[in-house]
Amino acid sequence: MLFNSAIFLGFFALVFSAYWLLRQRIVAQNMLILGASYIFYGWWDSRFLILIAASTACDYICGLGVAGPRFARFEKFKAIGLMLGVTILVTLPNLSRDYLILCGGIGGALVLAAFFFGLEQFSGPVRRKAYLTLSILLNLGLLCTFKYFGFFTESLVAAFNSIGLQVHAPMVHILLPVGISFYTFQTLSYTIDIYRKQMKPTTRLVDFAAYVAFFPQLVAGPIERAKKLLPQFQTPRVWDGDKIQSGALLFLWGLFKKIAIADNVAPLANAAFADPASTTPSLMLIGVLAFSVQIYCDFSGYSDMARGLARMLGFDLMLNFNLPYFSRTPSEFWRRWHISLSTWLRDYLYVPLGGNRGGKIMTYRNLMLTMLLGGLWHGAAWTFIAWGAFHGAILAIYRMANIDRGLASVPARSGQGILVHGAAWGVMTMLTLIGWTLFRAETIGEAWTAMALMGEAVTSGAIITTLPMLAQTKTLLFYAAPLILVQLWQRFSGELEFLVSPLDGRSGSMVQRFAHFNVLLAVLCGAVFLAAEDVQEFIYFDF
Amino acid sequence: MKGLKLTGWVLGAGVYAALFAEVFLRVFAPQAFIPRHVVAAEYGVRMNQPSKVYRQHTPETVATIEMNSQGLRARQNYSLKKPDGIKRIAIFGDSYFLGFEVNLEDSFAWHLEQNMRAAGCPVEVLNFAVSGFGTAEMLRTLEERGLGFEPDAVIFSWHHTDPADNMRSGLYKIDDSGLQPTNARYVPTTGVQEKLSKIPFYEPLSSTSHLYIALREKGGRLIKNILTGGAVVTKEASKLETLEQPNDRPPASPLDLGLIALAKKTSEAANASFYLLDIPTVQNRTWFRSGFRLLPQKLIDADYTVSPMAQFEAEKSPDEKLYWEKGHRHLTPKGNRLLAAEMADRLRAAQGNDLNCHAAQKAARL
Repeated sequence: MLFNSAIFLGFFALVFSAYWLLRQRIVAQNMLILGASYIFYGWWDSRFLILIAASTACDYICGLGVAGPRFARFEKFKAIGLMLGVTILVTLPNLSRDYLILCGGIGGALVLAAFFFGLEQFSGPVRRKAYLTLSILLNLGLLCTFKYFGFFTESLVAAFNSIGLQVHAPMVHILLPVGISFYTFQTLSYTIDIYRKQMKPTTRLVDFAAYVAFFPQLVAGPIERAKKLLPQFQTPRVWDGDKIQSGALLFLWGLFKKIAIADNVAPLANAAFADPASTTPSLMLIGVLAFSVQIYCDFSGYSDMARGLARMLGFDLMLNFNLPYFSRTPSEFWRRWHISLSTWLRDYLYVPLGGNRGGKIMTYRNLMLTMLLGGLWHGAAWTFIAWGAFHGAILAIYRMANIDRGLASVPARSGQGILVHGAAWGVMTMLTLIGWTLFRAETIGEAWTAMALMGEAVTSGAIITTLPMLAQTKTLLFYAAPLILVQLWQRFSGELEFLVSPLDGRSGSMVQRFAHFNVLLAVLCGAVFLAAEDVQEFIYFDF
Repeated sequence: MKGLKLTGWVLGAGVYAALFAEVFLRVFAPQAFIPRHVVAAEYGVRMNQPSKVYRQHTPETVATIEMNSQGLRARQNYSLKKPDGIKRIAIFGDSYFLGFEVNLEDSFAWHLEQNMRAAGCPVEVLNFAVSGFGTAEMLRTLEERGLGFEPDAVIFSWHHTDPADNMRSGLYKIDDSGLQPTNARYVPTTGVQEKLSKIPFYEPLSSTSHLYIALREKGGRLIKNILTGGAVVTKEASKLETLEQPNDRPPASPLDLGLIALAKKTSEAANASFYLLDIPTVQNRTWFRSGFRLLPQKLIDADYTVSPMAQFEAEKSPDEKLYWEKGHRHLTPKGNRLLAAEMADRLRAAQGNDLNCHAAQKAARL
């Protein structure tokens, strides 16, 4: 069920109405969110719900375990009950097909139960560590099995074959459950934060399960920390017309970015990357530029929609994008791009590895490792690893050359500052484009070809002679123009929430309100009439 | 008083929003005006409104569509009985065969007739195509109407939308005993169109308002999407599309194959040879996809199927369009010409004698 589908709009209208009819009944509201989230997620394949229930059950108990004090046995029954209940519910309708999954689910629940009761034999710090280990193993195990199994086995077989050992990969094709990378990171952060004593565990399974499966951000983030989102499930949500309106407008802007921009420029990128060897330099450059627009509008559009939907239900989700294409350095880029992932990697990987506390060499190593794993998080392919390595390398080089500090010492508004910051922005934009080439290409070889073509476009002068004449350039400019205009306005006004900003304000003048109404109409018309005919799935659903 | 004021504001805002949308569309997304005027025929499917003349205009072309009093796209009427010495080719298809977005002189039927005549074959091409038709409706029209004109050759178009059209029409079904007629009637939207045409301002609105056209198209697509379960192009699917894998639509079903077989049998029973002509779809100026990709290989290899893919591939160019790009992606005059040339070549090669080509050439030589 995609946010940009008619069926989702109907689904959300129902959930929204029922949710606010239940106001003041917080438990009922959370149960409704949980049920709706499971329906939303099960729409792809209901069997994936077993995984999410397993992750929820495990981390609910692990959270209680890592907190320290012993907890009621009843909690374990609740957690196992959730997993068993979901397993039975999703397999019963088609038992002849899913009987193995039913057995696996029941077996998994029993193993989990054995662990839960077994770990109670320990006490003190050992018990806390044991629960933490269980949580990490289960979540990373799910991720490795469902996301990386095929990649690792194929790579291993290729490595053996390359040294002359003929090995055949086991023919196991595992479907990638949508959003698994997002919710496993959420549940991991929950147990780790409790272990670090940064938050207390919850004893309300429904709240926790609703937090893990919260449908607005379940499949593509933002990756919300439990310490920020979980308390919101435990406090009453108050009907607030302004908040609901701003949520709806945020959703609309996200929808516009997705269907009117990302989906319309996607064919330009698809055409360039379909066979880079037979593409011209100019078309490749257009393809990479188009992809940079596509991935930003696709992913930030999804994040805006997620935040808008959550806001309409009375929740606040974190900002996930902060004008990343205005970045002047790689570290600034990662403070602005997919913020929920980069801060997650910082807090749960970079800092535990030692961060910048172990001297320069260790800092560079930690940066590389963090970005390599960040790249791998995006997908099981060498191109993503190369993309991560590339970003790790440029982060390390910029740090080595102390460029961030140097830039900070030049006032941006001075004549010299405009030149220096402009040049830094230009270099970072080129680096970003190189990164996207690695990200979008199917193989490393294709990425090299694409980069060589881009280089040729610049050195041969095609960027000036051929590029402006192409129909593809006009198409890209036509669809990217609203984004560029809005981003410039956001950059210079400091308002990150376009359409939602107090530009309209009931307090605004008549002219301001009329201007806002026209902007709103333009976005609405764009979303309705410029929407691409071919609806594309969100890129980050694959991650 | 307050309520009245509020109502005034809401109405005013609504009217302003509609005007805004009209201007927005004219500036950023001009619409294609491709009306179709069809009525319910007495034999249970749609036919073109007899004697109707109308214009189609898009941001890149203008065309006049003229129907004769028999509902065929032609300037003259045809007698049921064939004129002496003349052979007849009856064509059945959808808007591609009908020649939407091109004038009569640029349509497939016209080019086919001219090609055949230029090669010395005295033929008349009777165009029974109706926009929106699938194979089931073509077959019904052939049985109930086309055969009455004594055709010597029958050509059915095959487009990738046909399987969905055949399923939707419900005119036939396939069961253990084979192809069975089910519903006697399938005339979608004709009633609505009739009622709408009686509303004052409907005609000028539908022929000038970009907002009306855009909303109608969107609404139609939404309904179609809901009826077909909402097809979504996944990233995987779009990757495959770029590799030209035929994964976008389901293959032809036994119903479609049964309809084609029955059309062939019916034609041949009336002493007319039968052809199935591929209407490729366009991805971009240099990339076309054959509609035959949905058919089994055995059928593609049959001697009565014709595809212009080789011609299209040979003539493709980034600088020239074989399909319009800002309308409903019908064939341009050049696209129609190539399609007709391919069909004419096959007709001459396969049944030049039956169509008197050689006799005419001989007579000309004498």
